[in-house]
Amino acid sequence: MEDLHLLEDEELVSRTQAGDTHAFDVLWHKYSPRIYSLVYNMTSNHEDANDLLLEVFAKAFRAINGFKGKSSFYTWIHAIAVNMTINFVKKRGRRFQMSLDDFDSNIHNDKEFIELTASNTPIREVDLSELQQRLNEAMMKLSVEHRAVVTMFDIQGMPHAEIAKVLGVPEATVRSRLFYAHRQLQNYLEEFRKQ
Amino acid sequence: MMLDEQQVQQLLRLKRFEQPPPGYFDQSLDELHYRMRTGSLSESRRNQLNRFSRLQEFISNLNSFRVPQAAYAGAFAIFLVVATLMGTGVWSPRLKFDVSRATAGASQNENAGIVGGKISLTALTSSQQEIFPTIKPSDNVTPRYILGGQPVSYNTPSSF
Repeated sequence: MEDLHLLEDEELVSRTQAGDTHAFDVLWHKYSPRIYSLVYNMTSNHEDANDLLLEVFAKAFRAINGFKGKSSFYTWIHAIAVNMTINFVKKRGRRFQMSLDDFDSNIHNDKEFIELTASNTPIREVDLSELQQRLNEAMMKLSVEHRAVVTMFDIQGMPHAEIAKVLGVPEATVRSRLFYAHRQLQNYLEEFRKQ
Repeated sequence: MMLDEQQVQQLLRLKRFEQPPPGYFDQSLDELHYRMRTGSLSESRRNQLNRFSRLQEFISNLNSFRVPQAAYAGAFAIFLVVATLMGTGVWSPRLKFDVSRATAGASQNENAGIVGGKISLTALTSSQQEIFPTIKPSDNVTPRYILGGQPVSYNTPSSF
């Protein structure tokens, strides 16, 4: 039996367009963790992220026949996710509660985490749950547009050009939003500096 | 001294380790299939809910609606004008009476309305005033006959 996981995105998309829902399942397995990460880091709420993730993929499935392949499937579904999340956050307003996922235990083995908590860095020793709380609070102080850029660049590691395509803005706009967001976050995260 | 930009970015990158519970994406696939199947249905339901919420909003706006005071003055002024016009006879809401038809009907019969012993009153006219029949006589009513210019019932028993 053919292993759909070996197929390229273009082939999976065209099979989905032809009515093969198994091909769309493969796209789900491939991209749902990244789309979840995007939505979760923009909302700081697991339940909202769960609901939005499903809505994004359901919407993509309904609209797949309109996908002409001018961009990659990943860029296309990312754009759907960003737009839906921005709309959701704006409607939700300030009435929300954080509902955070746990840190993966692998964080303790992460090189950057070890560096950050090493005694010769200017960052004080932190309790993980406190760090998580503060990071998310700082993110939520940014506007949703700035949060989207920070999530895609700093957390997901997307290049400026790709972010610009997803948002439909010039690269210069992405850079200026990042610069402004980093300045804001430097202020909000000030308390992590060693006294 | 503030954290520099690189340190902020290092902190942000730690958010990659915030993960949903193991097996979450496999379990969510069933829910996705359900939403894919019911997608169009839920869309129409969402539209219905939107319409319902708009109706609710409209009704709540009605509850909070206040009649401006000028509207009361306007309604009173309209009432005064209509009352003046009707009172002076300049304007009447009654339908115009067709005089030509009424006189033609009367000229066909000397008795002007009594046909075959039954009253068939449709309209009467006097010299100046229009008279409208408001009660149409029933066919079951026994007609009263007039003899010698005096009703029969007026004859008293003492005349024997």
